Amino acid sequence: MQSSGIDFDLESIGKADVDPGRQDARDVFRFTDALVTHSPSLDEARAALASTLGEQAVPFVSAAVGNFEMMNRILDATGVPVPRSMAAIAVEIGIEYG
Amino acid sequence: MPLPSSRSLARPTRPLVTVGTIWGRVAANRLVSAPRRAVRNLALRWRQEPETSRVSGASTHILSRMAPYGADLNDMPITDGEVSSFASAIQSDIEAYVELVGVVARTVAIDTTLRGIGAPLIDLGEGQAEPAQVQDRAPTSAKKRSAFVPTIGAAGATSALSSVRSEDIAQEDLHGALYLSYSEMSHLTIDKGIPRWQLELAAARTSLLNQCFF
Repeated sequence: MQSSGIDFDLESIGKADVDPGRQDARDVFRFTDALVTHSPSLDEARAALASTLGEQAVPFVSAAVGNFEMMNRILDATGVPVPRSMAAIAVEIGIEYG
Repeated sequence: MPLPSSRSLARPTRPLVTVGTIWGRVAANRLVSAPRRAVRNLALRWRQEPETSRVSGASTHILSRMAPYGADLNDMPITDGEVSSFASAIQSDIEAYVELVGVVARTVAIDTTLRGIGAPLIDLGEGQAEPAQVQDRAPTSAKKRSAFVPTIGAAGATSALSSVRSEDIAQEDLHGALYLSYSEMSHLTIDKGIPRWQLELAAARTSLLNQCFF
């Protein structure tokens, strides 16, 4: 985000109860939450995402979620350790390292 | 809605509907009577409740940990010992586990993407089975290092499945089709349709929900 010059609350990445401070981020989070949790509100969240970011954003965000559903499972199931180099960013985005 | 990448999903998807490199052989002896259904069953297992699975007990035990959602992934994390026990239980080698992980994980990825855009799921029918690719079982330089499974080089996100070449390739293909290619990962401001930072929000939120630090 910092490289892109995008300003929002980084802690909202690691803490679901922290508001990111901008609507596009809220809608990405809302759609992601609905998709990952198999929520009945997925259609509504998709419509909100399309309304804020445009319809073309939906397949990109969906695919990104899909990719990380894959990666999370691969890494957890194969026991790949988290690199120590990630400790610093963990603090910045509000999650506990290790 | 069209999928975002111009790359076809055919290559990374194909192993989901064909006899697996390892499971095709193992399945004939241990899992189901028809080898060509083995990989399909593994993939479908993610869509089914554990009680209805036709996969063997050892596989069900591991597959139940790769749950469809979220906090379940870490309520009872898979351990190194369980991975080793799994290979023994199915009388195969650890690469069979690697293939199982790859198949299930890629099925989750593709199904999630399709649900996200409101499209029907891919039919993992039996009719597309192909013989196992013997060359994919050639010895690799994979060794057990810091992960539960052998890897070629240090254990990491891009080497986790490297002990099984077909899975390694399929993971990379799908990663590039759904998100970014490995070489694009270092381009922080890349825009392939939407800005990268928006992709990263989705990625980070997914990992938060799955309680996966990565």
